[in-house]
This record gives sequence, structure tokens and C-alpha cells, in this order.
Amino acid sequence: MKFARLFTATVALLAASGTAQAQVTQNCNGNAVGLGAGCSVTNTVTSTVPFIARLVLSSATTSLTAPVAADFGTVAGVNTPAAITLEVRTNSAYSLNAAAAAASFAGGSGNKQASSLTFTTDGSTYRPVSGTGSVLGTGGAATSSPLFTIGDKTLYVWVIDTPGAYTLGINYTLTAP
Amino acid sequence: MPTRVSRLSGVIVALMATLLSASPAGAQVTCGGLPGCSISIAAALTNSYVAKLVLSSATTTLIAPTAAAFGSPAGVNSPTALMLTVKSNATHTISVAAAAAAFSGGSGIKPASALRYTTDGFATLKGVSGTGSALVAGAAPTAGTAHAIGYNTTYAWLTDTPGSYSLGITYTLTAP
Repeated sequence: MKFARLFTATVALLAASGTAQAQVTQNCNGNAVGLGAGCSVTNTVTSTVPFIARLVLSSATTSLTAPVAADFGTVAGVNTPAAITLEVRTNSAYSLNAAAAAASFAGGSGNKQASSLTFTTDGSTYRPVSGTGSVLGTGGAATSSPLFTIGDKTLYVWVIDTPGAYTLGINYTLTAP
Repeated sequence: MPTRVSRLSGVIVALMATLLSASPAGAQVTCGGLPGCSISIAAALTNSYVAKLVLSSATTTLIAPTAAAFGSPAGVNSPTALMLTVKSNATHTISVAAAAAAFSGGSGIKPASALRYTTDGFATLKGVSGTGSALVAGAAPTAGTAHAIGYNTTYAWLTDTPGSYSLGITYTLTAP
């Protein structure tokens, strides 16, 4: 019985001391005129900011320029310039990658390869989206405004690009070091 | 040979005589054969300004932001249970001000102006940067007034790089 009371008293004391440690108490004594420099307590505010990024794609879909007979079998392919824009905002350095979601287009002949599609951000250099894709852009520091204008180029082959509708997902992935 | 008791009585009588002689002349009264005899003494007391501040916690951890919070002027509310209890025997003012112009840590350039506080459930947000702002002004003497305080923080892409940021907020009571 005595032990129980002692234990209870000890717990109560610990709880009370824990509360006292968390609090900040300041007694201030002035004179008949005032408190002088004042009476102050300080609360330290802490914020932990994680890596944050935002990607804004101007459109969820892109319709490529329809080919004509002259486009089939050429290595120049068919350009679809400035198809979409991709806006990047990040609070850190970043790398942005573009990659096809599948090895080939869905629909149509069923065997149109993802490698027949390339993209550009400068209208002159085209990079593949097949396999692991390509780096679309990088940034060495936080940024709030880079805007990538993305165009596409597609190659057409007589025996693969049979009449039909073809679709392929392109994933734009931002990573931080 | 005086006994110990008689010596003690002698000391007490001497002390009383000394005390009476030390009293100011204006407080003396002589009573002779009257049914009553009284004397009035004016008691003087000077009260000083005194106050007590109790902050429920020395630290506050803000809610971590999400991407949607960045660039938003509305900021992120951290409705903490921070409580400032004030006791004061005089009319008083409580000011709230940041201890520095910018948060320490992180990018090192997150300004104190990104932090605001509220005492009315985020209906009104007040700044802490520069000279800060008044939590209460000209408040009446109180035996214990509790102010529930919440913080609101804005985040910017270029200043809020990943990391831990901290800023001291000083609550100062002045009177009068």
C-alpha cells in the first residue's frame, strides 16, 4: 500500500516536471514607474521543408500531324512543332526525363515502335523516348519559371504504319539529386 | 543579583522606550484621565509594476508544406496549441516580433516576413518582421488572460529550398 502511494506520487511528480520543462515562465518586477525594458518570452518556430516540385503540362494529349505518302520511308519524318509546353517549378536542383510508357504504340498495326517518335525542345535537336528515354532538361538550383516547349517528330514505314489510330504515353519525370 | 527574567524585562522596557522615542512628534499622543485615547498612523505602500508571462511551449513545429502551398499568398496554417498566459497588475501591451530578419538554416534567405501569427483562429494574420505587431494594446490588468496563438507561413520556390528552418519569436509585455 505504501509502495503504491509512493509510486503514484513519483509519477505525478514526473508528469509535473515534464510540463514545467515544456513551458516558459518569466516573472518580471518593475518599479513604480513601469517595467523598464519589458518582460519577454521566446518561442522558436521550426519548419522542415521537403523537396517540392510542380509540373504543369499544357495538354494531356497531343495529336501528331497526319502523314502523307511522301513521308513514308523518309528519315526526316513528320514534325509536329510546339505541340505542348511543360512548366517546371521546384525548390531544388532537378533533372527532367522524357520516356515512352511502352515499347510500342497501342492500336493500329500493333507493332509501331516507340523509337519512331522523337522529341525536341529547341526545334532542331531530336531525342528518343524509347527505352529509358532522354533528359529533357536540368536545373542547378531552385526555379519557378522554366517552360519547355516540346515538339515531336515521327517516322512512318509502309509495312508498320497501316491505317488506324496509334497512341503512346510519354512520361515526363522530374527527379532531384 | 538580578535573575534572567528580570534582565529580559529590562531589555524589553528599554527597547519600547527607544521605539517610542523614534516615533515622529506628530504621531505622539498624551492621554490623561480620559475615557478613551486613540492615535492614527498612515500606512504607506508603494506597489511596483509586476507581470508574469507563461508560454506553453518553448518551441513550435510548423506543418510541412506541400507543392500546392508554394507561391500561394494564403500560406499554410499551423493551428498549434501554443498558449500565452499573461498576468499583469497594470495596463499593458504585448508585442510580437521576430528575433531576426530571416530564418536560420535552410537556404538562409527565408525572410521573417514569411511568418505571421493569429490569435483569432486565422481570421486575422499579423506580421512578426521588423518591429512586429501588437498582440494586445492597452489591455487592462489581469489575473490570468490566455491567448491561443497559431502561425501561418508562406512558401516560395526560390527561398524555401529543402532543409530545416528556425526563427525565434519574442513576446514582450510592456507597461505602462
